[in-house]
Amino acid sequence: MPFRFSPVASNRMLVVNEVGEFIFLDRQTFERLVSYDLAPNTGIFLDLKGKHFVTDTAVTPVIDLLATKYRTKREFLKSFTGLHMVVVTLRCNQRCNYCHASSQPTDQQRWDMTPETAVNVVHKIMESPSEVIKIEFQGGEPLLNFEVVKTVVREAKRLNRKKNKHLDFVICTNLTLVDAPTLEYCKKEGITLSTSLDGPKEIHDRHRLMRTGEGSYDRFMQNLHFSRSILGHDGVNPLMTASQESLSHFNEIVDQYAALGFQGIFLRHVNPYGYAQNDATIQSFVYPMEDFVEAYKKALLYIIELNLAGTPLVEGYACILLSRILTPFCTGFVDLQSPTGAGINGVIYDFNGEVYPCDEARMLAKMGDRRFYLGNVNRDSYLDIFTSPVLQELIEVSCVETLPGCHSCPLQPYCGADPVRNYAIQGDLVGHRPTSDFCMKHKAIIEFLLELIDQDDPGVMDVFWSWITNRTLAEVRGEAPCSN
Amino acid sequence: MGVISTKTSAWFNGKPVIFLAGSPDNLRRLPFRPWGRKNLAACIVPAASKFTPPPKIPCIFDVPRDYCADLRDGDVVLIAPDGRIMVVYKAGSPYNSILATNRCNSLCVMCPQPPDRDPDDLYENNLQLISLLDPKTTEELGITGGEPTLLGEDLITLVQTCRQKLPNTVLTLLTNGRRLKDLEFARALVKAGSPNLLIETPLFADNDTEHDAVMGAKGSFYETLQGLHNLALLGQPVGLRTILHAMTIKRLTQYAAFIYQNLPFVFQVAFMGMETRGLASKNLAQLWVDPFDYQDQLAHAVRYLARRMVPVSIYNHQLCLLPRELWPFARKSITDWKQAYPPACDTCSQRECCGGIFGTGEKHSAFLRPIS
Repeated sequence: MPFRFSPVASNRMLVVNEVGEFIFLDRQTFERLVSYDLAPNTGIFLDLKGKHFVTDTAVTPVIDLLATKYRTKREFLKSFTGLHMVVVTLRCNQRCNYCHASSQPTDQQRWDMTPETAVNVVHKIMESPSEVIKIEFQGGEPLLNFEVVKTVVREAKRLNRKKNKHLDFVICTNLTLVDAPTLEYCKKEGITLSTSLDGPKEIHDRHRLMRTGEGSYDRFMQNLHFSRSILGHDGVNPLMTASQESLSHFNEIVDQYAALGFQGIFLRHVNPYGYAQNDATIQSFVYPMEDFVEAYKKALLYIIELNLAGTPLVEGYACILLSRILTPFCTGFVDLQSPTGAGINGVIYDFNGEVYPCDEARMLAKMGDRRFYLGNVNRDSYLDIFTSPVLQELIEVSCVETLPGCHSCPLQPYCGADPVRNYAIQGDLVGHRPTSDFCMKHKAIIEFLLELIDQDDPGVMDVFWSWITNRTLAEVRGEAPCSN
Repeated sequence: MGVISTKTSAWFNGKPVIFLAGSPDNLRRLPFRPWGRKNLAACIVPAASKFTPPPKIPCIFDVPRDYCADLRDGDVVLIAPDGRIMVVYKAGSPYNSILATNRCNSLCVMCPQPPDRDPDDLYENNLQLISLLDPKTTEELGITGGEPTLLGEDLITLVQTCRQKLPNTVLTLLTNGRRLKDLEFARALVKAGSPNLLIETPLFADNDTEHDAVMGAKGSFYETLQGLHNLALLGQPVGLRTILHAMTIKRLTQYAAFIYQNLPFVFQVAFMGMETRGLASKNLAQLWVDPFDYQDQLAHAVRYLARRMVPVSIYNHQLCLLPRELWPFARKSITDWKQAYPPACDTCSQRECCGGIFGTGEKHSAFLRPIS
C-alpha cells in the first residue's frame, strides 16, 4: 500500500500513509519492510497491516477502506468557501509596528466601505454553497465604520431567512473604541469579538501603539473587562503575534492568557508582509524561524504542564495539527491546507469591493502587485469571481501531492501549501521547499508533535485529547462515579 | 405457548393465557367470567395445591413450588408436548432475547453456544412469542443466534413484526454482519427496524489474520467491515464487541486504534469477559488468560477510546479485577439466570455495583476477592 517515509531526529524512520496514519520504525525494521522481509505473523507486520501500510492477503478491501478514510480527510472540500472576511474600512486609531493591513488615518473617510458595496458583498457571500458561513469584519478598525457592519449583519440575516445557513459574525477589533451601545448591539445580534493581545504590558505596548504614539495596553485591559461584562466571559477571543522580543517571554505571555481566563492561545509567528517590513522595526519581525520554533516547543511543553496542573488552556496551532494527526476527520484551517484554503475556504472583500483569496494577496495589491485580484463585487458575478483563472491556478499549484519537495514528504497529510506566501517571499507560486521557512516551521513542529505522541505519556495524551475534543481533563479521563 | 397469569381478572387482548394456580393459595377453581374461556390455553398447578382445573384444559400438575415462584405475570412460557415448561420471556428483565437460529456461518474459538440445527417450528414460535409480549412493558428485546442474518428474508419479517407489535421496544440485533455486505439486504433490515433497532457486531482484531482465526472463517474480517460501512451509510446505529482472551488481548490498543480510524461512527465498543462454556471451555488451554493479568492492556485500550469520545463498556468483569479508573466503564452485563456470586463476594462492599460471575462458566479468575 502507498506510504511516504523520512528519517527523523531520533534516528528512526517516520512512515506515514496517504490518510495520515503513522508509525516510527527503527532503521533495521524499515529496511526489512521495504525488502519484503517481515514475516506476516509478527507483531510489527500486523501493526503495519492494521494501519494499512501492508497486506499479505486481500488488497481490494484495504483500498476500499483507505478510500473511505481519504474521503473523510478531504471532506472540507465539499462545502466551499465558509470564511468571508470583510474589510469595512482601512482607517485605524492604532498604528501597530507590524501591521500589514495598510492602515489609514482616522479622518480619511474615503477608505471606508460604502453601504452599496457592503450590500453587494453580502449578496456574494450568501451565494456560497457552504452551509456554514462566518463573516469576519476586519480593518483597519471595523468599529470606525460601524454603520456598515450593521448593514452587512442586517442584510445577511435578511437573505438567510431563505437560505437557512448557519451564520456567524465576528468583529476583529483592537477593543480601544468599544462602548456600551456597540457591545449591546453585538450581544443582541450574537456577534463575538476577536482581538489582539501580545502579552504583558511591556510586550504589548512595544508594537501595539495608538496613532498618537502611546501604548494601547491599559485601554485594552479596561475594555476587555467591560466587553466581557456585557458579552460574557467567552465573548472576546484574543490572538497574539510574536515579535522577536516576545520569543524569550512566551511563558509570561502564556501565564497572562491563563490568568485572564482565556480558553486558548495561538502562538503565532509574525507575517512578513506590509508594514512589518518597515525599516525602523524590521529587526523585531524578521528573525530566524528556528528561533520561533525553539520558543514554540518550549512554550508548548509549558502549556501542557499548566493543563496538567489544573489550568485549562489550549494551544490553538498544536490543536489543529493534533486533530489532523490523531483523528480520522478533516480539519479545515485556511492557512495550511491542500489545496490551499485561499479562495475556496476563505476569501477577503476589500473596502472598495475588490475580492482577494486571502489577506496577504490583498496586501500585495496594496503594494502594487494585483497578481491575485479575483474581481469586484460591484461589477462581477459570483461565478466570475470564484471560478476566476487566478483562483484555479492557485488551486492547481497548491496540491501537496504534486509540489516538488512536498510530493515525497511523509508529513504531507498533516500539512498544506500557501502559494501566495511562496509568491510574496520566493517570487514563485510553487516555491522552493529547502529554503522555505514556512516549510521549516511546519516540519519541525509536526515532527515534534509526532514524537510527543509516540512517547504516549498518559498525561500528555489526556491534555492533547482535551484540546481536540474540547473537554475537561476529568471528562477525557472518564472520571465519573459508579453509575450502575 | 402462552402468557403467564396469576390473576383471575387480567385482560389479555385475546392472547393465550396460562394460569398459574396457587396465588391466592386457597383458590380452588377459576371464576371464568372475567376472561373469555377461549383464551385459557393451559394451567400450571404447583405441587400440593388444592386447585381443580376446569375440564378440557391442558394442565401440568405437581410443578415444584420453587419453580413456580420464579414465574411472574407477563412471562411467556412454552409447554412442550411432554409437559416440560420452558420460560421464553421473563417480564421485567432487560436480558430477554429471541433466539433467531442456532445455525451460524462462523465458528468462533470461544463460542459459548456452538452452532446447531434448528427445530422445525423455531421461526413460527418466535413470531408467536413476539405477538404475546406486552408492548407497554417490553422496553428491550434482543435478537440473537447463531447468526440471525442466516434467516435472510425471514429475519426482515421478524424485525418488522417486532416493529409492528412492539413499536416502542428497543431491539438489539447481534450479528457478525458478514451478510450485511449485501447493501440491499442491509437496507431492508435497517428499514424494517428503524428507528428503534440497534445492531451489535463482534470484531476481534485490527487485521484479518487474527480476526478470521478467532471467527474460524476466512474472509470474514473484510465482509464484516463492509457490512459495518454499509450500516453507517444507512445511518444505522451499530456497536462493536470483542471477547477478551489469549488471541485478542495482545493487540488490544491496536484494535482500539483500528476502530477509531476505520469505524469512528460506532455508538459503543464493548470489551467482554469470556464465558468459559461451550467451545471456550473446550479450547480453554489455548484461550485462557486470567483477567487479573490483562488489566493493563484493557486499561490502555479503554483510555485510548474514551479519550477519543468513543463510548466504551466493559462487560462480564468483576470490579475486583479492574483498576479503579475503569470502574465507570464496567456494566452489570451478565444475564440474570447466569449471574452468580462466589463466596468471596459475601463480604465485598461493591457487590451491589458488580455484575458477579458467569454461574455457567467453567473457570474463573484466581484473584476474585472482596473489596473493602
